[in-house]
Amino acid sequence: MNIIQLIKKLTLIDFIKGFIVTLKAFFRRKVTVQYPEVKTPLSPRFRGKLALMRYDNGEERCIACKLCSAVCPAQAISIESEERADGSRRTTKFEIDAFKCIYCGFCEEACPVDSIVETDIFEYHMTENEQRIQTKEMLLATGDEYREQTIENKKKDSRYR
Amino acid sequence: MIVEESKKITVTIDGVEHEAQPGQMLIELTDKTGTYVPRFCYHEKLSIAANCRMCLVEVENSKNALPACATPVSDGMVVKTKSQSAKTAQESTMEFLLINHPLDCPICDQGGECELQDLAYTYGKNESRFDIQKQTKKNDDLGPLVSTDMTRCIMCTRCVRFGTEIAGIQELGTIGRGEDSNISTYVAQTVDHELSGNIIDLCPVGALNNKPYRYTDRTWELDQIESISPHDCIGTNIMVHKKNDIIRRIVPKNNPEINETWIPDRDRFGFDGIYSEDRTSDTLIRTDQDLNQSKLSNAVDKTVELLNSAKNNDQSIGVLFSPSISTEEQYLLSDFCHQIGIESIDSRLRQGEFSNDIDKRFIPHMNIRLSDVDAMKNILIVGSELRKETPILAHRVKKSAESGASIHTINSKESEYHFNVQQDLSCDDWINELGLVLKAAIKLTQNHLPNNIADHLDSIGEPTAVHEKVAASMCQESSLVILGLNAYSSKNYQLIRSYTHILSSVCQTNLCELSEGSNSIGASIHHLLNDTAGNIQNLSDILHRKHDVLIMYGIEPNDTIYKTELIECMRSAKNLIVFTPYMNEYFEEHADIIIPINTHYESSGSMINLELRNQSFNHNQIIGSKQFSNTEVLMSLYMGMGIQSYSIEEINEFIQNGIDVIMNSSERISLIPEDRESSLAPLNQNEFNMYNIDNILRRSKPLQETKEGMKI
Repeated sequence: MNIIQLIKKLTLIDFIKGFIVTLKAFFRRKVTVQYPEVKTPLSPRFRGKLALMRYDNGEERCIACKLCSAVCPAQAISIESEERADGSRRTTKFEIDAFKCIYCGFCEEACPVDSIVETDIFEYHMTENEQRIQTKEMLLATGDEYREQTIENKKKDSRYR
Repeated sequence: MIVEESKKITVTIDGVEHEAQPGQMLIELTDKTGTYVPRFCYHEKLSIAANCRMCLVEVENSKNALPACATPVSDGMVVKTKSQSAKTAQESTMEFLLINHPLDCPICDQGGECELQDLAYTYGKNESRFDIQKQTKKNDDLGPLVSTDMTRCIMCTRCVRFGTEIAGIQELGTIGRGEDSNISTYVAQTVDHELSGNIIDLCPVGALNNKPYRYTDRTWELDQIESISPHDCIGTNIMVHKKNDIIRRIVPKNNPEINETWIPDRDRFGFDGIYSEDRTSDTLIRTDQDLNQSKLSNAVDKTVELLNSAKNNDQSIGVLFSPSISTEEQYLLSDFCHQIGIESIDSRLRQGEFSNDIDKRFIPHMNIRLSDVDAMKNILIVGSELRKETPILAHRVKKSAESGASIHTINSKESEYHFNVQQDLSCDDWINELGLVLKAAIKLTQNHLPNNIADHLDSIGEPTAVHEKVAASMCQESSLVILGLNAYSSKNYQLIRSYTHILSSVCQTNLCELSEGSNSIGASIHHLLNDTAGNIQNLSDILHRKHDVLIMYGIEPNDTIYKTELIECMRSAKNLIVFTPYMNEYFEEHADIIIPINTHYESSGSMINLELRNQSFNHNQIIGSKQFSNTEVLMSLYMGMGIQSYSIEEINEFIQNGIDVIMNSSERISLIPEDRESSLAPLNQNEFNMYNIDNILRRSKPLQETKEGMKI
């Protein structure tokens, strides 16, 4: 043990250095928020709960091209389709397994009609196992509910896409 | 000159020298050597139209790029398929094609298997220079099988050429010129040809598509299984496309020896019948006048009990089974009956007249290959509506007619043919006409025949010039006699068959006898190998007896031409045991035990087609109506009776033996049957309907909506 180490030990210099760091942090701006009362801002690119969108006239956008289910790396989307009475191609079943979904956003990118979108909703829960399957009605309802903010977000991001 | 023609020439393609045949088109050579040249209008089975211009390639010493499909090769030709000039030409063509083609690939059923889509990726430009309004076109209603989206049409005219060259009836045509040209049926009508579904495969874009399949699946979701079609004795090769173990559509499998690239509509759309509401998945036993659900084991126990008591009390047991199930099933069932001593067993539901001794030795089959029919020079079609009975064979006959063969027909009524018929001897007294042709042939060849034939032929009149002409034609080389299903179901089948066989041996022609169902030959193998005593009774005997136990395996009353007799027989039978995939009113009324079995599309096994080709299929993945396979059901009967069954390997050996026996017997019938009153009255033969021949087709919705299906 040499002399310098002895002095350091006696004057508790490292100890004081550590306290200074703590003291600095004490006066810094706080990053912790009081969730859920307070929320952090989200990027318009945030990829949250999936939803199906409609046209302005209320017609569902989805044309059952199944590109989303083809591109889905987790194989979370299953679709069945048929010819509707008016001759258009529509889904009869559109289901997303929320447990399988990894929120990668590929489906949104693959969609040729901007039907499937990822909203910025990340807080949702289910109490039964079966509820993880989101049916077409549930997805359309999500789309209707968060329509304005989703469109807003997509607009903000559109110039970078 | 001839020497020069057969000389090989050298063509350089992309810097590599290749040998070519003179007269060959450039695209045939590039296909053979593995250089891909893009194309839309060219199809190897159709004539050359050269109207899509997609196959333009650069040829040295030529000012412009030339279409590979319409440029014959010449010696020393230097071709560049990937040069800048070829690429520019192809890109420009693609640009023109895409001017009016809608960009709705996401909703187009062709998306994923579209030739235009694929080639646009490879040969197209990245962006369009046209922002003008795209053209739209009117869609014709082509009936329940083919859907139309004419806006997507790129005017390659493959469908039009298919109509004239393959179907023989021009159902679609081109109307208008230039940009206004349009594919249409000239007057509003549907496409009704038995091969018309093939235009779906021919269409390179999504203009003509599969209507029942419309908007249901994307191509990348489907798995495919190689398979065999169960609806006629040709053994057409098909690809079954399934999703989630449910059949979604059927497309042809290319087999140049059988069906080339074509399949009849009933093979393509028939599978719909297996998803009919009539399907039964419950084992039912009748107690107190009602059919009640039960376990399979109970039903098997009861069946065994009934069989045992009927067998011990020397009472009558009859078994009828389908000629369209796999050979293995047929063999297991036949051998089960053989082992417990049942002699009344038959599957010939459409045969018009029975004669055990003859039937057993001469199994209807074809002694040449199907592909050999193309090269026949003289063909006589006896008692057949060939187009309805076996569309693929009719197409083969058409091919031979186009290469110069003379075709003659004799039938009870005039039927429509898509080829030129030289002599049509069809009339009410057609059997006599056939006899006269035979008589003329005997005269011509100066054969000496047994007395009974000579005596018989003396009584039928004298042949005229027409008969002599047909006879002379048949006596030439490479001639073929086809005996059709109309003759097979005729009351005078044995006489017609004898005439045909004698004609065939007198003129030394090839012989093709069509048989009912898809596997009649398989059904006959057990008889052939085991029934040396000749005890086996036929359908006529079975239908005329009151049975203690009657077993029906995979058939229903509509499958036979003796519908009324069979229903009466079912009614009078004390116990009726039915193995069936489908319920119907007759079973509901008369059956005592109903055991569900799988249809062809859910089982596996092998089938023997009319040229004795043994082809196997495996549909085990397809979800059936019940959890047991047909073989398992039959095995449970074996176990219930306490008898041993052969293993599958042994059965396969028997089947191969049976095929060899049939193949090696070149003998023909050489006697005229005695005049006998037939004890059965077959239904009117005008009722032959190509969409009513088996229980699956009868329940296929798209087929039943066609013009032919509506006639049922």
